[in-house]
Amino acid sequence: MRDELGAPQIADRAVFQAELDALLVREKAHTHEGDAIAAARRRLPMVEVDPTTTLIGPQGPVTLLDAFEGRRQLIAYYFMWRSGHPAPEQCEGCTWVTTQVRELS
Amino acid sequence: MATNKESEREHGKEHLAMKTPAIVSQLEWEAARQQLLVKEKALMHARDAIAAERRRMPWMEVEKKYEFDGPEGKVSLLDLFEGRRQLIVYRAFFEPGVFGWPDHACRGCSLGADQVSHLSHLNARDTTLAWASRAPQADIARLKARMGWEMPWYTMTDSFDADFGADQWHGHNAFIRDGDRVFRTYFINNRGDEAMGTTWSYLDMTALGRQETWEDSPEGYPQTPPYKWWNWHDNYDTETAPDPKWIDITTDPIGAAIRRREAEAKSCNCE
Repeated sequence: MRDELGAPQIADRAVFQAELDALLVREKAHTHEGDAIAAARRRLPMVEVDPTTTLIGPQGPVTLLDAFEGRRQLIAYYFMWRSGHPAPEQCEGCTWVTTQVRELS
Repeated sequence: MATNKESEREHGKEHLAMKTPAIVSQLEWEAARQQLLVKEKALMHARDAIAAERRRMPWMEVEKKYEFDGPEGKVSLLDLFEGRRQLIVYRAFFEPGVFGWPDHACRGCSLGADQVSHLSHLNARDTTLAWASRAPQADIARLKARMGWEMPWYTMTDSFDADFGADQWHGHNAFIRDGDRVFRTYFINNRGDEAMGTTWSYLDMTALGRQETWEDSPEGYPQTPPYKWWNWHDNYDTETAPDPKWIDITTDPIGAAIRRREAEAKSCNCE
């Protein structure tokens, strides 16, 4: 397999650790840049939205405000749902994303 | 127990002196967002570049014969691959002396466990995720049932954690195998662990990456086009080759939508 891959060199523990430490500098800079972008997001202006916008939930029509479930913030994901089609015929990409959503407590 | 008022304050529901940003029109908001999007994309590409560097790391051969306890008894590191080419092992803290024992695993590791996405997608890229702790299998089985976790979870019996930088603190180690030879290819810990859980986060730390054609990988690495290998998590086994209709959608999304609408109009007598 290694020849067919043209894979990287095999290194001893010391060389491997040195390479790991070198890349870690970039990894940390990346994490901190991500933090800085999140900080900038917190400084974005806001747009006022009509809170009475209607959505249909399992119990019938609700407002956008209801979708907050009493919490202060709401994240909404738009799933490309094809009305009238069963679950296996829905968007594979959105289904994929849904399998990445886990415990929301 | 906190009174309602205390709990409201805790959740910031009272309008305290928090200085909130300006309220602007949709147009102005979109302009501000577009500015930030430039930085977001640069960060995304920097992440891709780091993953490409990871794929160029040297490999460290694992020569020691490690032994784990699994649900069926003793297993080796090679067994943890479950026959797949790559393996990621997360060292989780669940053992005597850890806060929460024996009812729970460490709170941070438990939060991480709640973020582990459906493993069928990772497995479809020939990669296995396993968790490892020092707790006996009976406790691990009980914890998994209680919390609804389904990832393979082994008991460490030797110096595996110390040898791979995870005896004092949690961490993800990535391995690849060549037949029966096993190599360590990467290690992520500390705040790097925070970002783990999605299929992409796991694949991006492996020696082979996402195995998609757009990636900057060394010559000869396995790659197929993005989107096309994705499947519904309950359909990988039954549909071993991508559905031509899905290929059509991912190759020409707009054309496929038009063709679908035309086909639906034809099959329906309502027009």
